[in-house]
Amino acid sequence: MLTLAAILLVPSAAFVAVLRQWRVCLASLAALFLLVTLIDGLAVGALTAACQLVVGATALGVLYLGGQQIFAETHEALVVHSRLPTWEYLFESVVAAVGAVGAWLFSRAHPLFGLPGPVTFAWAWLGLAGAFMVVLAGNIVEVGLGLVVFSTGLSLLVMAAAPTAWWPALMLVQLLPLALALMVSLAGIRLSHFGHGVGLELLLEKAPFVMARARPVRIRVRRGGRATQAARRTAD
Amino acid sequence: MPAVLVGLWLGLALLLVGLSATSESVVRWRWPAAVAIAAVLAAALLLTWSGHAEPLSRWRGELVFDQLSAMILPPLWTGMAAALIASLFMPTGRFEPAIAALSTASATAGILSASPLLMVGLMQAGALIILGGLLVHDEGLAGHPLLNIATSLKYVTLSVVSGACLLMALLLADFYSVNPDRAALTRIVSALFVVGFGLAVGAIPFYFHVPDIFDAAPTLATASLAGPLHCLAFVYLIRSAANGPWLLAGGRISDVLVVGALGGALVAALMAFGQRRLTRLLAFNALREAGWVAFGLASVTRAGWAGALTVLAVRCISQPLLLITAKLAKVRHGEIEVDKLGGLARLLPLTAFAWCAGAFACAGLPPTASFWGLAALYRAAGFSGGLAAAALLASVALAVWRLGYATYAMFWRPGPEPLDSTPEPVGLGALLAAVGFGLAFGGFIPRLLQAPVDQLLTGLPFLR
Repeated sequence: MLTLAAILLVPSAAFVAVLRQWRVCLASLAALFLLVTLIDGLAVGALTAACQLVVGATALGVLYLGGQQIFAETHEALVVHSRLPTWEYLFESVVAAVGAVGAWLFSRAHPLFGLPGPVTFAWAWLGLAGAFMVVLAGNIVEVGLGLVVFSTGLSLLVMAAAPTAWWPALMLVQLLPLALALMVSLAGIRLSHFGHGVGLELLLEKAPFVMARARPVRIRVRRGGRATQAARRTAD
Repeated sequence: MPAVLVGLWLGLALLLVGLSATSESVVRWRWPAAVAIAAVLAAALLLTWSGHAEPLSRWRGELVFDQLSAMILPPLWTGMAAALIASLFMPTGRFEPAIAALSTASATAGILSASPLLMVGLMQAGALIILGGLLVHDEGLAGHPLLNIATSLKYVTLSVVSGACLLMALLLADFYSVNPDRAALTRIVSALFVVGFGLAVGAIPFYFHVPDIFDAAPTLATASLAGPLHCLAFVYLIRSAANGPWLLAGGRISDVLVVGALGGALVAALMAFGQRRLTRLLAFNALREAGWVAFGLASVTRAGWAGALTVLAVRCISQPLLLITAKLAKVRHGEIEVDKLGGLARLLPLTAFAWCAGAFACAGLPPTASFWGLAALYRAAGFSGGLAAAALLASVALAVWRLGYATYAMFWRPGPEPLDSTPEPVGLGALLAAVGFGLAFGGFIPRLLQAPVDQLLTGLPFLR
């Protein structure tokens, strides 16, 4: 069961990163939270799992309300990111697959803290997936989802590796994804409220000194122009 | 007793959160709020000075009142309480006092905690509180909302990375303690610790977010970063090094950290010259001071730790004081660029005195207490070689030059006519001047800080 839950984390985290409709993204995030709850319940304890369930549900609620407000303000299509070229979906899928294989190899090679392999895989995969999402993000919603996934992996690691730590400390660590969801939703609402949309491009443009070093990675796709097509026809 | 101290500050924070519910209530209730802040400060100081401080605590899962917290908390509370009271009597955002009080409560709980996980968690909480300050900052959002939001995104990402590194370092250090045969872990732990800690205090080269926060965040949120949050991060470093001396024991690790910290202090002092805005200039001064403290701790010498602890205690007061006085200058001129300020000594004589005291303390000049800290750091630099001592002295000289010029430009150089030429409010000026007086002349009683530092260092046999 633990292994199955860890394996199912791969598509659930990947869907959060790739799917376009924000409500479907949140549904995938809900599945991710449920799987982490299951892993917590099996590997750590029922109380930790219950706390994870409550934190996950609350974070989802915050993100849902935040998303609703953001997309209502911007009057834009309800998509987290615009349609990508097919090969870029393929690229993201390859990145996800490489990340998952990397996390699996890591859990085999370095079974740290005496944790079961699936738990090591789960936290490593969530950390990698969250980091990729933040690096590849093009808007605040994507950054927020990436940070929440990353911090969920971190929380899972701490709960599994140090379950006997002082309870206020554990509680604080487990509340981190919720606080991040709240803060990023607030930032998104503020930005959309000023009529700027939620894209990071505008921040890069208007606050270049601040954002210059945090520029997200954007992959430019050169479309085949008329001249190229004419040349192809000539060659044919 | 530690729980009572945390409860006092948390209660004050909740009171100020309640007051910030409407924009008028902060102004209407400022006198009762100021009395409440003064009462909490007085009660906390009385409890601290009358309580018995135990030796520097080992890691365990509870709140403790030890010599380190007994030494660091009084200046931290004094600096933040002065900033809080001053902010109630000047144009300020309605959420600012609540944010500063929450940060102080969070740092108090962290400094009184012997649980490393709780300390890291509270550092994250402190960062999120400051982030809240950036996002709900009414004045800043009206002025340049995108700058605030861009800064907040950058800060939230870097603070999560910082927390992740510190948590991984902590878990790996625990893992190493039961698997001492894995010697390679020590370097990984040290590297993770340096990155996580560097991002938490914004030490160069991990400083990307600090100048932007100083520029974009409201004054008290910035003071919360430079005061309570940085102080908590340094206390975490001190407790970690005291609990696991192997973290700094490797000669190479210590050398790398010494070079990094001193180089960072020197670079920050140089970069301060390129800043036109007073807030950014203060940011690089704060980074330089952080470099000094990190150098003292990394030197693993008694002199270095004594100097670092003294500078750390003094900066808990000097940083909020400088930020508040800079805000007053900005309010008068409607500008924050150094070259557009001037002639404020005539209008704000008491504030000018407070700024000078803060600048002297920041640069480690006599008669401030930080002079003795700097002298100890110089002795520690002597252990590391002539180059280290020269780098330290160069950073001092650059800081004196830059802060001296900024002081002259703000207060004595004839400048443009201020937008607001009303006389200085006596109460506010007297409060800042009193804090400045204590800061400036604290150095005449070197035993004031030296005695608790000596007491603390006797329990650390690994220091050279």
